[in-house]
Amino acid sequence: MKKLIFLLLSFAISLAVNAQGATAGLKAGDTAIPFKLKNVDGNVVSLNDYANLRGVILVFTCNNCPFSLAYEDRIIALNKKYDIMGFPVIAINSSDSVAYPDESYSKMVIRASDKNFNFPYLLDDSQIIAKAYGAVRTPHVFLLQHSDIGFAVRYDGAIDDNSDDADAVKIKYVENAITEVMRGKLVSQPFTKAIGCTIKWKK
Amino acid sequence: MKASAQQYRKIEVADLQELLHPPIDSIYILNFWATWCAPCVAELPLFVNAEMQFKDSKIRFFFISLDFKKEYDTKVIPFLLKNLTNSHVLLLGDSNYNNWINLVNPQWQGAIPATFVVSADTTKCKFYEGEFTEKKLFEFLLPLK
Repeated sequence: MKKLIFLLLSFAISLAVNAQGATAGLKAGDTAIPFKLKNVDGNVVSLNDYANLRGVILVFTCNNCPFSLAYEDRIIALNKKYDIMGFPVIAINSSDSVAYPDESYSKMVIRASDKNFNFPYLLDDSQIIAKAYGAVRTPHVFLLQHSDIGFAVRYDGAIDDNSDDADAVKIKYVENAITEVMRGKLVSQPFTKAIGCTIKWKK
Repeated sequence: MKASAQQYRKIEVADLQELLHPPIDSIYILNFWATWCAPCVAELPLFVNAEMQFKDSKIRFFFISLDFKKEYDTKVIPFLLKNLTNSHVLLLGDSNYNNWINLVNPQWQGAIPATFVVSADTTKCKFYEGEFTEKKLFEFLLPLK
């Protein structure tokens, strides 16, 4: 109950901030909002389960967006590389499965199994978490670092600068941000934009 | 029926800059879309219809495709020839998005569909991120007439 109140309170605070800001959602420096969501293995995963790690690479993605599909292997590679360094991936699908049945929980289970996801893939059925973070498209990454006050957002945006071709990437935004965070530096590019599928909001 | 080969062309970010600064007295509607984006494809017929209704006005419509380059020949151009035969379609293949999204509009987060009204008369400039209904598109365009 305590956690729920905290969640609602955090959400209310973030909405209040958003009402004044030009762009909605969390930005570098903000405190991350905790969540408890159902994983594709049936278990519930909470951000607090990761409290003893250095951070989390939170990725809003989905089953069916061509951009998400183009990045799937890169997301798997991110987890492979950074899980052992204390920054595992958590993926969240917030897309409306009523209008878009390909985004349903059962299709998530199939996708995670087909692609051998080595990280949790969580269902944000109410879309509250996507809205609270200000996730707008897929894939959309939030790099969270554990700190005294809980998790703090250090980076928000795209994975790298080339969705079309992983081999032609020049700047790896997320990897650069993690490197800087691990060295105790401020992230030099804490925010990037990208084209992507819009998260399918419920009507 | 004329061949529609001239109806689409490939553009770079520099061309986009030009589109963002239309001549005085002109109003450009820039609709960013892609064949892989279901809501974009769903709203296109509304725009084609609106384009016909605004034919004799100062308003010009440009449909800027953000499709993957590797799908131009197999998917995108066949789609254009079938669905956008009389419209101006521009293929923007620059996937270094972070370099140009803010040029279009700093408030745009990069989700599509996204539609921008650009004009030398800045009071007319506005944008809409998301899929239009027929009613919403009408309300969006009518004040420009």
